Amino acid sequence: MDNYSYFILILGMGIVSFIPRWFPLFLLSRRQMPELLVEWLGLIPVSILSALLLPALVQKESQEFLILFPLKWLWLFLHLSLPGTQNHLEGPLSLEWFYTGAWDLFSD
Amino acid sequence: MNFAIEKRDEKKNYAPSLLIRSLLAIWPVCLGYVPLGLAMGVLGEKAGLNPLQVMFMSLFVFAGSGQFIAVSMIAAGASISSIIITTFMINLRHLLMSSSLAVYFRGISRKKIFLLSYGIVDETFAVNMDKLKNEDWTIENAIIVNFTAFFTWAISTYLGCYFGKFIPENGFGLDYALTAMFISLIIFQLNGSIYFITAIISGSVAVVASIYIPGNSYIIIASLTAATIGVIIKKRNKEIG
Repeated sequence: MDNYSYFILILGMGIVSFIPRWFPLFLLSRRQMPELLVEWLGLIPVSILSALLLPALVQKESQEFLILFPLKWLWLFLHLSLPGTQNHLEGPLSLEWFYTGAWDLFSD
Repeated sequence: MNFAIEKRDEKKNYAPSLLIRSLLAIWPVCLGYVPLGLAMGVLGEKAGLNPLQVMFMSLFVFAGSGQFIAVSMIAAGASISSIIITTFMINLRHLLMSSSLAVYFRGISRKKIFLLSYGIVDETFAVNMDKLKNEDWTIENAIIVNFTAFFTWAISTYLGCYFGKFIPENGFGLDYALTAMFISLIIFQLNGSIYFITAIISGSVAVVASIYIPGNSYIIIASLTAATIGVIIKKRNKEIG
């Protein structure tokens, strides 16, 4: 892509990105809004944040990081702190499970 | 005399300056922007852009997801008009953010509104909303927050493109910094049961809609639905109570 058409591209992208950010503030900050609209707009931030966050959380990699990983640390802690559990567990409850799991997370 | 001393002490104990408070609020976002920006720059380099081109895109557009998609469309040889239309669709969600910021910035000069608007993205919106709701926060604070994030982003994308050949994808493991920050910010937004209910509705609608609707229009759909249901519930409760 040559420099001229690239400039046209980013200029166009800039304008269509700016207008949705600017127009409501420009319009609404200058006039009295009805009570119901203010209440509705008050609920918008938490709605947007939640709509951005939750789909990201249910993606597979995020699940691994945010749910599985703390669980593994909790398990390690219990493993080392409870008497008599250190050497007897095998399979998915063993220390190897923790170490290999942690390694998988960091080695992709 | 006594009065003068008192006044001086008051000044000494005064809270950190405007600039410091704004920077303290935004630095975690910047920390998350660096790896994201580097990744964006690396992608740009792979799409055949040079560092200056990538940086100018960041300066003109300032939209994380929008830029990622634009760069991959450039790499795929898409037309200019289709890239611009896609960017518009992706960034349409900022309409709602801008509207809800308007509640706090009544009667502010057009110039400041213009400056503030330029830097409204998901992360700066989240930080500013948290501050506006919970403490004394002026439009100057919000503008500083927005532009700090903006320049961090632009410089990171430049560096990512410049050093693109040496940086492995996801090489920093900070990809979750922004997700973690959103979780904490959303918790501070929950100032009552109605906010909690709205958040649950919005999140659930978003999860379901994101599966069935391509693109990211699910964000707008979920927010509009949840806020409307929230207002209806609030009204009902008032009428009953």
